Amino acid sequence: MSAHVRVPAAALLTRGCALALISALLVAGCGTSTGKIAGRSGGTVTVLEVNGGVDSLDPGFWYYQTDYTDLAQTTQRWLYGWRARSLTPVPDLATAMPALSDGGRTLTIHIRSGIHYSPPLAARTVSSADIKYAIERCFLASVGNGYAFDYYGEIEGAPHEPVSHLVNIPGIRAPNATTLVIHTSVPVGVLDDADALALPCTAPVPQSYAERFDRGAQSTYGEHQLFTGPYMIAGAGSGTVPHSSYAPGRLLALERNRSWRRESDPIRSAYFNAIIFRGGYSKTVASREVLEGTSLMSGDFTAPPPAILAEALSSRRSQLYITPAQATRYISLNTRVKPLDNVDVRRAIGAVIDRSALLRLIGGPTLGAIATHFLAPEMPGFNVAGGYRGPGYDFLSHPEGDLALAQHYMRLAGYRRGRYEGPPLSAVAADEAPQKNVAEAIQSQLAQIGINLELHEVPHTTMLTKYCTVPKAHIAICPNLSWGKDFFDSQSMIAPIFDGNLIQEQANTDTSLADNPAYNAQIEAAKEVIGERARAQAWGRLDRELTAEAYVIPWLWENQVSFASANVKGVPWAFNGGAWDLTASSLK
Amino acid sequence: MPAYIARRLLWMVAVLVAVTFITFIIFYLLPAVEPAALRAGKTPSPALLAHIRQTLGLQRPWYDQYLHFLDRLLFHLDLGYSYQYDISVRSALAERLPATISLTLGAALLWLAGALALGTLAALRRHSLLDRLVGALTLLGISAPVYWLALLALFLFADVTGKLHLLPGAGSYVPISEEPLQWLESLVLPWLVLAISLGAFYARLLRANLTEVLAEPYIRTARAKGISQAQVLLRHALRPALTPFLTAAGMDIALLLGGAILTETAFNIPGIGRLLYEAVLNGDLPMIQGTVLVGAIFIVVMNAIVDLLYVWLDPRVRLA
Amino acid sequence: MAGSAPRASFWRRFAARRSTLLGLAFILLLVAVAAAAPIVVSVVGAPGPDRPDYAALSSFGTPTGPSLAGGHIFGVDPLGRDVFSRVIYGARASLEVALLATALALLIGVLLGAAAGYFGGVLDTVISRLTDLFLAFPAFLLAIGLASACELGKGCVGGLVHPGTGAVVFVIVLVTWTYVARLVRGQVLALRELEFIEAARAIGCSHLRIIVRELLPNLAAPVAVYATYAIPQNILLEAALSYLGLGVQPPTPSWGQMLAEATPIFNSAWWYMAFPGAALLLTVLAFNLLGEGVQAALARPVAQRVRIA
Repeated sequence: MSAHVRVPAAALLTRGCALALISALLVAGCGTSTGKIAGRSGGTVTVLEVNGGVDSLDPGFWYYQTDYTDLAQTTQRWLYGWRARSLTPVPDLATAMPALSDGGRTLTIHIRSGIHYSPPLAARTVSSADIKYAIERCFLASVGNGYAFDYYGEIEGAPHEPVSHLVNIPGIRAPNATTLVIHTSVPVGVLDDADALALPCTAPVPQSYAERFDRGAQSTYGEHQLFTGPYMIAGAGSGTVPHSSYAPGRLLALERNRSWRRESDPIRSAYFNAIIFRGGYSKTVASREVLEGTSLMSGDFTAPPPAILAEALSSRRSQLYITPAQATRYISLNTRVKPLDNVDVRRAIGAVIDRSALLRLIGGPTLGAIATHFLAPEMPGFNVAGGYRGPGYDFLSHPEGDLALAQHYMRLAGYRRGRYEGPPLSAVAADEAPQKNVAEAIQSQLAQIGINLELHEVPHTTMLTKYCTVPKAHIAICPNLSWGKDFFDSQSMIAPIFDGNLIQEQANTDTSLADNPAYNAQIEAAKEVIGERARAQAWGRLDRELTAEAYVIPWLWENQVSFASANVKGVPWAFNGGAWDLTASSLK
Repeated sequence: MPAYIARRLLWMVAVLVAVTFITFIIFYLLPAVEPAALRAGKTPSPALLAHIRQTLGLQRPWYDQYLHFLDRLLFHLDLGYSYQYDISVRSALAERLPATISLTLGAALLWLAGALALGTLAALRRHSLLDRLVGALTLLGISAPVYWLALLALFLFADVTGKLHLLPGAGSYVPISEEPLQWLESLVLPWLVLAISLGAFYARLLRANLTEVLAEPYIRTARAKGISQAQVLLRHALRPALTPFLTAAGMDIALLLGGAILTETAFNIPGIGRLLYEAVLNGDLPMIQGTVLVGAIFIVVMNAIVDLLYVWLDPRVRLA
Repeated sequence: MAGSAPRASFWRRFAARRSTLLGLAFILLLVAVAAAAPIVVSVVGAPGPDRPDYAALSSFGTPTGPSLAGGHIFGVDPLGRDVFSRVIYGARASLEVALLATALALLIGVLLGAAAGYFGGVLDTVISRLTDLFLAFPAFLLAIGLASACELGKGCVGGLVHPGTGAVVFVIVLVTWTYVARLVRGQVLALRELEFIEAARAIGCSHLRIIVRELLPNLAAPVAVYATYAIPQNILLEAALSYLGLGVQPPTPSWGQMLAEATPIFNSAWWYMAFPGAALLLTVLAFNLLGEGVQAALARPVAQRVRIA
C-alpha cells in the first residue's frame, strides 16, 4: 500500500453535494434527472474569491473545490466526469463505463475520437496514449499530485512514491488510439466503478508536447497546457498563459475554446462567453457585492458572514443556493498524547462538547446539521450507520452536551472526581472567524472536565501543514478540522481519516494517529469490495464501529451556501460539494 | 568631503550586511519550520519533501546557505525564491512596493504639510484658543492606535460597509497603472488615517521645538533689528526647529516605506508590510530576508539624506 | 545642562496642571480596577470574561449589542462573552505587559548605557555598535519577527520564554532597551564632563560608589520622563502585537486582540470595536497627559519612540 496521502480538503474549503431539501427526494439514487440543465447563452460572469483562488494551473495538481470549479470542469475534459447533479460518473472522453474482466482486475475503456486540443495544437486529437501519459505524470514529484498513490497505486507497475523521472506504467496500455486498458494487481472498487477515473489526473496530456515542461524540480506544464474543455485561459492559445490572464490570487480570465464541440460533450453546456475570477476580497465585501450587484457569483468560501446570511435569508432567498457538502467538521484527538489514549476520556470529551452552540457560532442551522457519526448525509453507507440519528451512542446523543455523562466517562477512565487533573494539552486552531470562535468555545467547554487547552491560533494553512498533519508536532487536539468526499464513495471519507497504514510524517490525514490493526485490515478489505450495495454496507459498518472509538468527535455535517447576483442562474455541482458548476450556470 | 562620503557608504554597506546576517540567524533558528512543506503545496509525501529540500539547498549547513545567499545578492541582485509562492522574491517585492510607496508618500505629504502648518501656528499663538485646540486634537491623535482610527474611518465612510458611502473601503486598492481614479480613491482614507496619527506627533514636536527656538536671544535680536515676523520665521526660526523634525520624519518615512504593517492590514492594501507579516508567520525565510533588507536600505539611505539636510539647514552643524 | 529641580517645586509645577492630575487620576483608577477586576465585574453583575453566553447570540451566531435588560452593558463578542468583563480584564494584560516591559527595558538600558558612558573605551564601542545595530532594524518588524518565533510552539530561547504574556514582554524589552541605553549613555557622557566626578575619583571613591551615589540620581529625571513616554508606547506595542495575533494567547483578553476580532465585523458589531478602542485611547491618553506634566515639571525635551504604523 502506498505511503502517500493527501491533506484534508479543508485546506481551502470543504466539498459538497446536491441541493438540500430537493435532494432529499432526488438523491434516493434512482429516477434522478441528472441530464444537462437548460440556460441562456451569452454574457460574462465574474466570480469573487477570498482565499487565493486556484492552487495551480496544472491539471495534475488540482485536487480542491476551487481548482475543480475554476479550471477542472471549465477547461479540461476527463476520462469520466460529472454533470451538475450526477451522483455517479458519466463517460466524458470515454464512450461507456469500463468493461471489467479478470475478476475486476482489468478495465477496458474506449475513447471518443475527433476531440481536438486547443491552439497551439488545434489540429491534434486526443488519443488514449495521452491519457496514459496524464496518469503517469501524476506520479512525478514535479507535479505533486495528492491522490494518485491512493487510487492508482494498485495499477501494475505504478510507483509507490513520487519519482523524479517519468516511469512507464505497464499496467496502463494504449493498444490503439481509441482504447485504454488498465490492469491492477487486486480488484480496486473505486476504479471499477469509474469514480477514481473521474478525476482531473485523467485529463489528456500529449507526451511529446509536455515532456519538456515536466522536467526539473517543478513542472511548468500548467502555464503551457493544452485545453480540451469549453473554455481556456484567455490568450493561452499562443502556447503560454499570459500575465494579463493569470495573476495568482488576484485574477484568472477564461475565454471560449474554439476547439470544443458541444455535441460531443455529454457533460458541459458552457453558456457564458467568458468567466473572470477576481481574488483578494474580504468575505464581507465580496458577499455584499455579489448579492447587490449584477453578473457576480460567490467564490472560494463556504458561506457569507452570519450577519449578511441572516439578511439574505429573509430578503434574497432566491439568490442563495444551500446544498449539503458531504463534508464533516470534526475535532481530532491525538491518541498518542495522554490522556487521549484512553477511549473513555475521548468519549467524555464527546459528551461534554456542546455541539449546538458550535453550530450557532458557525452561523446557525443554515450551515449544516449536527453530526452523530462521521459519514456525511447522502454518502453510501450513511443509513447503514444510522442516518441522521446515528448509531445512538450516548456520548454523541446530546447536542447540547451532557456534563454528567462526561463526568461518568471520566470516572470510568479512572479519574475519581470526574475531572482530568493533569497538565494542559496543546491545541492548534485556525485564526479566522468563525473557526477560531469554535476553537475557543471548545476550549471553554473542555475546561468543565478539567482539560485545559494551550490554544495557539495560526493561519489555516499553517495549522495544517505545520502542526495538525505533522505527527512529530505532537499536538493533542485539533478542533478546526474538516474532511469532504472525493466522490460519492465512502472510502474517500473513511480511509484517509482512520487507516493506520496511511500515517506518514507530513501531510498526514489520520490526525488522531488511530492505528488499530483490526480496523486497518477491515479498511483494506473494504477497498476491494465491488458493487455499490456491498460497498455501502462495508463502509457504513466501519463508520459505525469507528465512531464508537471516538478517535475524532464529528460535530457538523456541512452545507455549502453558494450565492449569486439576481440575474445569474447558478447551478451547484453535486460532485464538488455545492460549489458552482460554471459550465451549467448561465445568466437569466 | 569625499573621505566622509566614502566612509559613510562603507558603513552603510556594513550595516546592511549585518542586518541580513542577523535576520538570517533569527529566522533560520525559528522553531520547527519546514520550508519544504510550504513549497510542496498541500500534498507532500516524504520523498517529495526530500526532493524539494535538496533543490532549495536546505540540507546544507547554515553558514553555507548564508554565504550562498550573499553571493547571489551581491553578484546577481538575486534575492532567491519564496518558499511559499513559486515566484522570485525580487518580483514579489517589485509587485508590492508601489502600493507601499503610494501609501507612504501620499500620507507623508499630508502629514508634513499639516504638521508644519498646525505646529507653526500653535507655536506663534501660544496659549491661544487655537493652540489649545491643536494641542487637544494632537493629543488624541497620538493616543489612538492607528488601526482603530482605520476601523473608525471605515465604519463611517467606507463604500459598501460604512455608514456614509463616501469612499472605497478596505481591499479596494488597485495599481495606478490599472485604474488611476480608483487608485486615488482607495488611498484617501488610509492617507488620512496615517496623516492624523503621525501628523499629530509632528505638530507637537514642531510646536515644542519652534517655541524653544523663538525664545532664543538671536531671534529677539532679529526682531529688534526690525525684521518682519514672517522673515524671522522663515529665515531664522524654522530652519533650526526643523532639524529634529526632519530627522524624525525621515526615519518614519523610511520605516513606513519598509512596510506600514498595521495600516496595510487594516485597509487590506497589498504592500510589502503585509508581505513581510505573512512571510514571518509562514517562516518564508527568503521573503523575510528580502523585505527586511529593503526596509533596512530605506532606513540607511534616509539617514544619509537626513544628515545632509541637517548640514544645509543648521549652519552650526559640521560634517563629522 | 540643568541639574534636577528641587523636589518641592517639581511637585508644585506638576500639580499645577489640571490635565496632568486628570491623567494621573484615570491611571490610578485604571490600576485599581485592573487589580480588583473580579470584584468590579461581579459588582456590575456581568459574567466572567471567559464565560460564553450562547443565548446572547442570534440563531445565526451574530453577537447582540449593549442592552441593560440582557445583562451585557457593553454587548457580547462573537463567542457570546461579555465585552464589559473583557475590557476590564483586558486592562490587566495591557498594564502588566507595559509596566513590566518598561521596567525591564529601563533596567537593561540604564545598566548598559551607564557602563558605556562611564567606562568608555572598548566597552563603549561594543555597546554602542550593538545599539546601532538594533536600531538599524525596523523596530516593529523586529518585534513581529521575534514575537512569531516565540509565540508558536514551545516558545523561544530553548523554552525559557513561553508563548503569551512572557513572550510579549521579552519582545518589547528587546526592541526598546536601545532607546534607553542611548539616552543614558548621552547623559552619562555629559555628566562625566562635570568636575564633581573628577573630584570624587580624586578622593578615592570607587567606581561603584560614584555610579550609585552620583550618576544614578542625576539620571532619575530623564529616565522618569522616558518612562512616562515608554509606558503608553509599550501599551500600544502590546496592542499592536495582539492585533496581529502575536500577543497574549486566548482566552486571555487583550484590547488589541479584541480590535483584531472586531475588524471583519465592525459594520455589524460596532460595540466590539468601540469599547476596547475607547479603553485603549483613554489609557494611552492618560499616560500621555501624565507624561506631559512630568516633562513640563522637569523642563526636559521629548524622548524618542518606536514607530508602529
